[in-house]
Amino acid sequence: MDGITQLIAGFSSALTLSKLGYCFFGVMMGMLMGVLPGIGAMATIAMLLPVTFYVPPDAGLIMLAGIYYGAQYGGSVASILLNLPGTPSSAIICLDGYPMKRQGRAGPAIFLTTIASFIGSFIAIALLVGAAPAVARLALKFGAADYFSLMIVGLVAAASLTRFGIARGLAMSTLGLALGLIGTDVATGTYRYTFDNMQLADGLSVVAMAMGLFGVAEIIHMVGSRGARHGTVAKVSLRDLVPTKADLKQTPAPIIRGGLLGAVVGALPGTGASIGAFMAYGLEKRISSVPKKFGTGHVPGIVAPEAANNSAAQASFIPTLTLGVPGDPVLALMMTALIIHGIQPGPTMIAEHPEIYWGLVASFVIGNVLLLILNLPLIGIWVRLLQVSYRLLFPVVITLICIGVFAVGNSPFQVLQVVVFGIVGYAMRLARLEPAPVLLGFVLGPMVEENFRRALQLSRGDLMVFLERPASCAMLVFAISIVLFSLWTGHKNAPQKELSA
Amino acid sequence: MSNLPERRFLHHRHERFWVALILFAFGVFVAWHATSYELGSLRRMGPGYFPLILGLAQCLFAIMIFVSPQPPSDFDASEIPDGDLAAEKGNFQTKLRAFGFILGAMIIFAAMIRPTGFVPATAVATFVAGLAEPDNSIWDLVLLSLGITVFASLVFVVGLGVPVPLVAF
Repeated sequence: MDGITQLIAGFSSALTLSKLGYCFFGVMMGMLMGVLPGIGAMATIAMLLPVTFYVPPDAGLIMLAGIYYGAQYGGSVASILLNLPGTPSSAIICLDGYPMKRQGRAGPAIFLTTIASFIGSFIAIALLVGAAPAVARLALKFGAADYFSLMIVGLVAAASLTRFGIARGLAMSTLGLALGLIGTDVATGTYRYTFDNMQLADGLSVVAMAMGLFGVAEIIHMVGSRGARHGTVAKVSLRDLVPTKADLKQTPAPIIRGGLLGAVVGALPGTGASIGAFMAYGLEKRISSVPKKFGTGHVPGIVAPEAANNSAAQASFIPTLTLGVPGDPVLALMMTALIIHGIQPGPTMIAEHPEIYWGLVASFVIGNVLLLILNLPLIGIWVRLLQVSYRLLFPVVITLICIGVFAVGNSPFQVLQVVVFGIVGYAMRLARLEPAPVLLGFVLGPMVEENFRRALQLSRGDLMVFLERPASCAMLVFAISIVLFSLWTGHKNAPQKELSA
Repeated sequence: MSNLPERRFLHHRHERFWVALILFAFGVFVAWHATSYELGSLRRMGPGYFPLILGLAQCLFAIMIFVSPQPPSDFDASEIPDGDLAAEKGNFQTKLRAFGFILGAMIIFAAMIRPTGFVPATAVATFVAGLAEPDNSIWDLVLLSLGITVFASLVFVVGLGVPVPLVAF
């Protein structure tokens, strides 16, 4: 009940005109960038990060969060109409959304995914109100060893849920941790891996890394390919949105299942919206009485993953804000924004800055209602936006990335870092290495090292400390079982996959 | 997809070997460089201890990549069958062009922003980035650069007060 009272207080803070404005602006930008393929929430957030420096931290966070979940709404529109995911987490929507469009049912598909997004979001909001404060209270009892193990779980989970096998994922997490070493060692003040370049003394820029690995690499990939030259898009008007009775009948259960699954997946550290959506699709297909219908424009195949990616996007604020361990790369970026503002996400955040936490949760409610209102009546505008040609859009995005990165660090050197990470990110694409664990490892790196050091200092160098503390031990066992399970399933599926590759 | 040049590299049977080798070399480098810092002990770790562990872990995972089975092919939307895959075949030259102009635009921005100020850097970067796509005419790009420069100047410099002069000579 405490949560409800707090939430009401949150509303009083989120319902001020300026915060409503930031919330509105955030969800609009998110929706817009989500609709446009090739520009995800990540690029948008990095471009708008400098904006948040000039507004109060709570308003900035509300705006950035709005971009993130707004993009989940918008992403499915492109998936359905163009068979091109607007955001990575809506890639799976293509499988049944695009066939629906081909059957002339794009309107109902968009309507149903919007409703699914909306309901999925509220499932996550319930978790944020009900469970997050309890998680934070629990986390207050965490020692350094527990934190270390928790972050290991996050890194292993992120590594295991990549598409190319756990070995590659773990290598990428480690790469990120290693990149996080660059700069000044917090404990001793030693410059590490700076190679006498003073500009590296503060470490690499997380924004530059995110923009290079995700934004620039994606744009290089897209330019000159199908996404850049899609043709005209069918018109969808408000009247086309009406679903059939049969559609409505098979909608509620998958939405609830997808939303719950997404919320749980999102609440785990290291796993974000994309994974939630993929798992929800898999689950629906497995329990369906007509699994063969999936991939042919089957309604549960769009609503379950769509509910899941929204609830996961919002639930991933739980580990980020209560534990200080971001759920996915977008949240890692957002956490950086908070830290720049002098707010350290972690178990004490809800207690120390209740207005920020509850204001954010309240803004989720407001933002989702706004999205529902914006999305359906304005559907014609969103669809027309898809005709904005990518060839004119990407130069603008490149420039805004440059400006954004420059403005965050006020340093041209960080713009050059984007160039380097763009090359690395594109090479990683070709080599089938996922960038998400790199970014997560990079953000967590200094914290992992600090807690590792502190835990061993307290235990006087006894490594058993990680197994003696029950929470730490349980998490390490969990991490190891993730690795073993991934290796086992990877091994089991190997021969068949080798053929298809 | 396998007939795209970039994909051909990707499905090369030595791919796993090269990925593992590069990551292994990186791990060796990190670990080797770590020894130039004070290592300390488990009880009192010096700045080199954790990097050494990471470097060795990276080597271990590189070996794991080498011995584990080839991963499944990339799932992305371009692989969802659509029937017009042949039409969208990018070739090596388009990719090279994209690479050169997009990265070039960013390098130009970084080089220009301090000496020339915001307006010239933004305009030139947008124009150069746009050249990555052969379909863009010069006029398209001139208009685009003008538009985005006015917009970005108003939002970032005038509105938000990003500390950089509009034009500095």
